[in-house]
Amino acid sequence: MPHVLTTCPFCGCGCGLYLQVAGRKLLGATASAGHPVGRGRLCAKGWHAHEVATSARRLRKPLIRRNSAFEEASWDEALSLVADRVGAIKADAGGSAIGVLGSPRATNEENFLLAKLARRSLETNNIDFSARLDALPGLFDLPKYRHLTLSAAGLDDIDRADLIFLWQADPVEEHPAAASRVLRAAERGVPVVEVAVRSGQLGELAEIRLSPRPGTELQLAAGLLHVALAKAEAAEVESLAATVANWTPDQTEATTGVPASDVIRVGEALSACRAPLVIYTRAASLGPQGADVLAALSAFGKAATASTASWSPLLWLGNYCNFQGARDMGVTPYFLAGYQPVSDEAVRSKFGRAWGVSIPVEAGLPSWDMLGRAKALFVMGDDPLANSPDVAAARDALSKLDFIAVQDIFLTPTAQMAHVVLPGSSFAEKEGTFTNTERRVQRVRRAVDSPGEARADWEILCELSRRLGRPIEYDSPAQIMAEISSLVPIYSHISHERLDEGWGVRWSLDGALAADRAALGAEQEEGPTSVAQSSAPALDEEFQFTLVADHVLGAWKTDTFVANAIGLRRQQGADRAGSDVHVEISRADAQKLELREGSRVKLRSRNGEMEAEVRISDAVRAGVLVLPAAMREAASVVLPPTADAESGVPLLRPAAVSIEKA
Amino acid sequence: MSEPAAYVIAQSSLSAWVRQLLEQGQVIAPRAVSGGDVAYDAIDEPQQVAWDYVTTINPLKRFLFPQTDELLRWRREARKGFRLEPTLDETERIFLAVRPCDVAGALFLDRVFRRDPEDVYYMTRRQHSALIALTCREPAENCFCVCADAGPFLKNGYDLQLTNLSDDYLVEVGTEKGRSLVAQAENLFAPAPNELIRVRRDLEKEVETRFAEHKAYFAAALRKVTFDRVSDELWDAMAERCLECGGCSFVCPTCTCFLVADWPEADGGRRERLWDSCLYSCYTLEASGHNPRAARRDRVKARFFHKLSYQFARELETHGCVGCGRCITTCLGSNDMPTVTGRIRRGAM
Repeated sequence: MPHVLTTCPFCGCGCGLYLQVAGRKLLGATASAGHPVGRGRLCAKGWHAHEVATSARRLRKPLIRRNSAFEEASWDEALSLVADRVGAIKADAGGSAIGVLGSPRATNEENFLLAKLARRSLETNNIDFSARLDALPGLFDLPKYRHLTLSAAGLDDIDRADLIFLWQADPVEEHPAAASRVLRAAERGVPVVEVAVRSGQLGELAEIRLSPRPGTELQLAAGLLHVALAKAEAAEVESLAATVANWTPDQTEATTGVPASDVIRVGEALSACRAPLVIYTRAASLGPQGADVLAALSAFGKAATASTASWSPLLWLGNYCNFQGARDMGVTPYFLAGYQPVSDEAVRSKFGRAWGVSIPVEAGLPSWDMLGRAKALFVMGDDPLANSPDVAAARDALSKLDFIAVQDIFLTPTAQMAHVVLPGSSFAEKEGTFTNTERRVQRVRRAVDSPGEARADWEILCELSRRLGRPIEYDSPAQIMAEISSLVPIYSHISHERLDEGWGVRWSLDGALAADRAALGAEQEEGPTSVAQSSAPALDEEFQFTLVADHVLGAWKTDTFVANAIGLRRQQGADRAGSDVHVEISRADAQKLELREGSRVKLRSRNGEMEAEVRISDAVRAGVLVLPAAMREAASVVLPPTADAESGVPLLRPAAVSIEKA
Repeated sequence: MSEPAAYVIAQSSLSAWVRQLLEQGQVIAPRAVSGGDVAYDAIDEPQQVAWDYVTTINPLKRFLFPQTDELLRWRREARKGFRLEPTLDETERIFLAVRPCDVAGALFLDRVFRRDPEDVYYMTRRQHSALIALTCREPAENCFCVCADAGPFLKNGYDLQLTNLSDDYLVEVGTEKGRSLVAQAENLFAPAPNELIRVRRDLEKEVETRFAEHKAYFAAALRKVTFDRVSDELWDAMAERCLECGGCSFVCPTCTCFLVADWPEADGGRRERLWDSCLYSCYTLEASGHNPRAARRDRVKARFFHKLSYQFARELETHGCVGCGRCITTCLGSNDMPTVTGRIRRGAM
């Protein structure tokens, strides 16, 4: 029963685990004691990781839609159909009519290859992955923003921090490996500050909980900086202090609802600490004024006492095992691998020379535009229907496409709309690498064969490239990584051989790669230059509550891997999220409104109304109703996706609502 | 003439013995696995045995009661309905150089699965396995077997027990199965001189004093848990430190809970049992939707009630812990056995 060391396929922490194999069968998963991320621990997902691969719902044969139903097909037939249809659309309308989606769960090698297929064989920069939305505002991958969703800090910094903020982050639910470290820090006496409208489990151990009105997080951050910088004399923080000068504790309380005394207490703790660490996730980056919030948080290091120059106060936790890697590998419309801009002629010619083609100049479409504007879509391991804030619009856009091919291991909601489905390989069946949220590139290793006729994703892509007339040939994922390291400076020191010697290698923002650091925007941690007024929805006599969508609450319901792993799927039944459309309400509000657990209510916003059940929660802030984001489609009338001012991305912003018994 | 109770084998003869064992079946021994951790795993060659290891990432449970365990297959037969066939694993396994706590863990599993009705899947594996213990001279970072009476030396329960006495290994015979393992490699073993048995006894006393880093107060905890003298506030505080990963159940040598899953295929299917954890909220979820242990506090309490109450200890001859210390490594929070028994004894966090 060999133990095969690999990397967990769930969240961005990237714990090391062993797959246990007997003969050709996966028996289980177990933690690696020496692994620097997990240190002998795993969360429930990790302990059940093998069930993703052994799921009875795995795709085993290629599928072709005929008369609106799927039929099993041979590989030859399926691949020919994809190549013919995509080839015809390309010949007819050009590469820009084709959209390509990669995956934060595919390996670096597969994502690199997909981006190469898009730019070389399909001649388009329309390549993206839908979960990249999570990294808004880093979404644009512009240096101005990128550092905000690219962690200079690492997981070990949780052990070193002397003040920890959980900023709209619930790592117990989403990133347990990080939660474990926060919990241990709290037990050592390190103060933890929780900032959330819905308190998580670590809130119980927190020194103080701040619960700003939804949409006032920026003003809270400004208020904390105001207090922390009050006594600062250093010239370098002068302009910062001036920026937040108006956000006195009283003003902050008036706007955010957080008591001025709490603002002072936390602001002073920030000022007195040496190593503040702000842990945040997509809830902060996707939130109202997300870019400004993150810019303000990045200034927390400057507000601390004697914070060393090398200390970075921001720890971004991504939700997928290779979220970081998919971005690194150029699965974005704006960049070739390693954040080398497509718009740069020198970059295009470097990749063009290596790939024997000219890289298309025309700017690519991001995922949310791709769905509506391309004619054909090739999807590898992505599920835009699961990730799109506006599910109905995404479904509508997909249904209008001339052709959709999906390569995946499960028949995801997006795959169900495809014309051709190609069965790929799970993490347990392939060689490659994932890059975790702290930029640690780690090996993924093959433990068993793929089920049925499923194939390794890189082989499928190579085969497809041949049929598209521009063959891409490799012997192995290791060979793909060799090409990556030759073309991508931040991966220049990475090879499978080197990774096999240890526990993975973090690609660096410092040292030899200082030039990249500047290019990546990691130097730009000046903080905000102005603090806008709150964007919280206006409450009045009629609309007294704020309805917010919460990603944590819905997470287990929408995660394809969770939904298909037997031991985890079972857990969904007991999940607090339940299956009926519901909102969580605070106990105080429920009492006031005479609502009981399970009461039916009518929610009305300025936009429309809906019915839902209520769940009474001790974790929710008074005045707030929390909707699991997984149920956003059912709530789209009351909580309509609204376009972000800067990006045009549809997002779920808090809405003012009234609530009454149905 | 009675057979000697102990033998001696020269350090230099170990390889020859292991080679001989490899001919008798699968040999599972501590070995360095790909990442540099040490795990019990099948070996192919004698030099793969990590004789100097301190502890492994998992107990023997993964071999005797795997995380995924096929129980039976069914097949549809024309006009005869279904045909059921149990899947019994009759692989001959020799567990070599197993730490005493892990032997104690296997013996605990025996007592669980031997209860009426006997678990045929587990017992078949056990009947085809031999346990060769290796006593401990050094505690690992998290060991507290002395508190659990499960090491660093065993009094019985092993087939053979080895003790490293520098140049030689003392080999104590615990069962007839153990005796026959020696008999099959007769030329490598010599009866142990009394002097060596004395050295081993002294060593045991001396080694025990070094196992003092972690302490688990089982007697006090047993008393308080049995008579429900642990406050709800304390269970609440501990529940706050449980992240519901299930890891404690999975690495525990004595945890045995499982769920059963059927995997239908075209003309039949298979039934498997899969490890489960009492810390999961779905563990006690009823079909009606009611969950008697919906609160995490009740689940944490149930786990330690099962490990530490007299009701269970009486049935299974001991409390449910062998002091291997793996839960200390694995708990995402801080609800490992020494910490929890300490909190229960104090009545406070």
